[in-house]
Amino acid sequence: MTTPKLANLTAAFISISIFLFLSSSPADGATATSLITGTCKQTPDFNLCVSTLTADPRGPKAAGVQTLALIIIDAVKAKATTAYADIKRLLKTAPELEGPLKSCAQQYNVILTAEIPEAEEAVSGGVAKFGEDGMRGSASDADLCEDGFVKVKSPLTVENKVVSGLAAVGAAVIRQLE
Amino acid sequence: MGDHNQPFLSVSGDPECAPVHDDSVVDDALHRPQGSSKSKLLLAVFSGIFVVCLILAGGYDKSGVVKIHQLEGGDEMGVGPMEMPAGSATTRPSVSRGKSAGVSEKANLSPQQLLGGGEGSGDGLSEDFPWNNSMLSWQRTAFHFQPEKNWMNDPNGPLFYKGWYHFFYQYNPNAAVWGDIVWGHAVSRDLIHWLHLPLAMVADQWYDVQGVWTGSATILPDGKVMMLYTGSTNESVQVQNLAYPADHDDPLLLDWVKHPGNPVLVPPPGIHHKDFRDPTTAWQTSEGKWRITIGSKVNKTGIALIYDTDDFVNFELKDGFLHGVPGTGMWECVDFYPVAVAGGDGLDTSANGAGVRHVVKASLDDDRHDYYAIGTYDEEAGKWYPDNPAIDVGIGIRYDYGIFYASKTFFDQSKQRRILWGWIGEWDSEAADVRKGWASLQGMPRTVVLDTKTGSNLLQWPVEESERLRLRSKEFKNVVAKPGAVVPIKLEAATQLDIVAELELDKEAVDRVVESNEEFKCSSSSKGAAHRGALGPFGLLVLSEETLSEQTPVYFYVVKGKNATLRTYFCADQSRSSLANDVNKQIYGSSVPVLQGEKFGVRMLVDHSIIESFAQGGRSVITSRVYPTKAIYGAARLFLFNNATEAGVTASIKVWQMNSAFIRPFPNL
Repeated sequence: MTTPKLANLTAAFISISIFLFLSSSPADGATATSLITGTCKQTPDFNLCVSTLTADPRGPKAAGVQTLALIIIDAVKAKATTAYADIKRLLKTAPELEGPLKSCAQQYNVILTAEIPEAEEAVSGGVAKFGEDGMRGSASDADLCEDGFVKVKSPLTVENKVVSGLAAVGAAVIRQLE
Repeated sequence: MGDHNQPFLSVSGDPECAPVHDDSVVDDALHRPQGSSKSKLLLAVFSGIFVVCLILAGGYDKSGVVKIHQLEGGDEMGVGPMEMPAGSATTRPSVSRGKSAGVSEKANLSPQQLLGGGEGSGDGLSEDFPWNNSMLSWQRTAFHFQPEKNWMNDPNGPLFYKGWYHFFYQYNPNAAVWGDIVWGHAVSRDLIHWLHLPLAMVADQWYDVQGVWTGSATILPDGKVMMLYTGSTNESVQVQNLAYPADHDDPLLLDWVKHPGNPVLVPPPGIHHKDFRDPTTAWQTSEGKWRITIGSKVNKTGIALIYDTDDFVNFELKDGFLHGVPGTGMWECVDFYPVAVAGGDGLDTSANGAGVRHVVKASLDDDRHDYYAIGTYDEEAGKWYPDNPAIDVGIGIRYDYGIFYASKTFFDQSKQRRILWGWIGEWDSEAADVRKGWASLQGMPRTVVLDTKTGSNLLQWPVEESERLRLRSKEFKNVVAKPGAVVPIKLEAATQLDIVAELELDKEAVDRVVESNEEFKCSSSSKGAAHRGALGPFGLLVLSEETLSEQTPVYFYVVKGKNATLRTYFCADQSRSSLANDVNKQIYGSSVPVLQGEKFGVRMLVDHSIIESFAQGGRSVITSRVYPTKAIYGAARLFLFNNATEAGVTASIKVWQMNSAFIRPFPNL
């Protein structure tokens, strides 16, 4: 393949990339559908709710609240997954925090292996109240992790707050399924 | 569906870019022998996509500050029915699952109210309690049905068959939270001493692979058993299936066969495929058909659908519904059964005619409470009408003013009584449940009869076999508690008890006290039992610690209203039940009719982390889940208390130590 063609292709590709980026940007208010805004108004963090839902390609296309609930659950899972990875890393790099970090590992393990699967199964199956339980449980476990750092500064504050806040939003979205 | 047995696997990467990080494709491209130009192109493509992903990922992670201000309506902070302060960085979402449980009014409580942490926990102490194994293992009950571990919810298909009481239940074999639901099974000779059997049904068919959900048993006149149950299909559609014992001669009913033609019912037109579950026991019509009802909803109206069948395989949907009540939402675990106007014995589910009233009961998904109403069944029309529409199903009387859901009755033909099972969930955190390895109990089975004195409510009472658990007793006659008194009731132990108490208010004080226009509800004061009136509260402090650092008051509160009429309320107050902050702290209960000449009477079953309280012979019942940290084992105490300001209380109390029921696996199976 000749160089000019490669350059053209690259240019075309960059244009497509920019287009894709712009059209899927969460900053685009037009993709916050009335379903999303209506649902998010009944949650404790409207902005977090809207931004999370519009950031997911399923969000603006969602036909019902169930899809929105599953998106939030996925977002909690993603955030909890990274938090868990960070905890594992910190256990090696910050041995002075071993106590609370071990508790956090426990709490996030519960979130990832028990509470999120519970929420997914319940929302998919149409028995929303157990989904609420799973989300509330996740929020509480993130709080438990944060509260474990009593006399020292928590290295996980931002992550814990995000998981906790998102899970609270999740519980509120699921509540609307009942 | 999560596989809870798997150890957690490591992070897999940014989900939005997952399809791109397909290493095999990249490897393939890099190793292609055709020449470097093609590989350069592919490299450019992937780099471009990689760059896009970086941008998108970066934008996603910064969902906090930058993006918010660019959103339409981004200044709205989500105020709505939620009472939580929105967007606050210090907000702590709800911890325990007591959210919609345990209040007599449908209050939408904020987490702060739920936790009772009004002053916050900002004194440097951890908000979530450091439970130790001793505290957690104390919570397991001695004589209430629970599996050896993991999660349980609804009672299923209870029946008496060939000398054994059978109990099935929603069970998660993999975790201490709801999920992967199958049918657990246990048998007992006496509804008390249960023996665990292997799982009765698992999720092994396309029509129940997402869950073997709740169902009910019907015993045919020839003795055969038909079990109808809800399956959640591979596409999460709710359908009804038929199962029956593989061997009707096996008294233990170990093995079950699923009808090859399942499902026997699918959601009818107009009914959403996720609003169709929990078929009832069938009853016979005068035409000789079998009739069942299944709960559902249409918009916000909860309804009970009616089907007729000859064979439990082919069903005919009847026009209209058995009944429906606007605004009540989805009706789960509907129950329908006759009660005798004259009280006394229970009735077979098919009983009808003069001297019979019919009860319709529904578990309301919206508030997680069980409601019932008494009324008239018009068999020909396939309809039921409440005696008093003001207290119709879902808007009137509850079986239980504490934690009690998904309940189900069955007719015990061996002793001619109707028996009620109810799922008792947890009021602690899911984290604690996972840590202790189990969640949920069943209530002590209760007989149900019509209250012949009032005619407008049921009476529930622990089955008489519960008295077989009674060991040594101690009697305390005419114990006087002056206004403000707390009187110790000295016992050898106070965690496994059967308490029967009769209390009287000082008559002279009752006559003397002026009329009050207090509008009382158990939940109206955040002080609970510390809120003092002229004639109440008075009752017992259960699972209490010597210095009362932890206490669970269960009590009466009497108000003298217009024309000197007395109104009585029966309440439980968990606000100080535990030093832990991640447990239910609500105050709840209801009014209870106390008739002329009646003393205030209560029977309480205390069994570690469960308290079941029956007032006025079972006219009002409260089940509580309590998780003390200090008032456990030998440190638990019982007190009589009187917080009335004007009247003394005299009580006669009999307390039995209760034995364990030794619930365990069936031996030598």
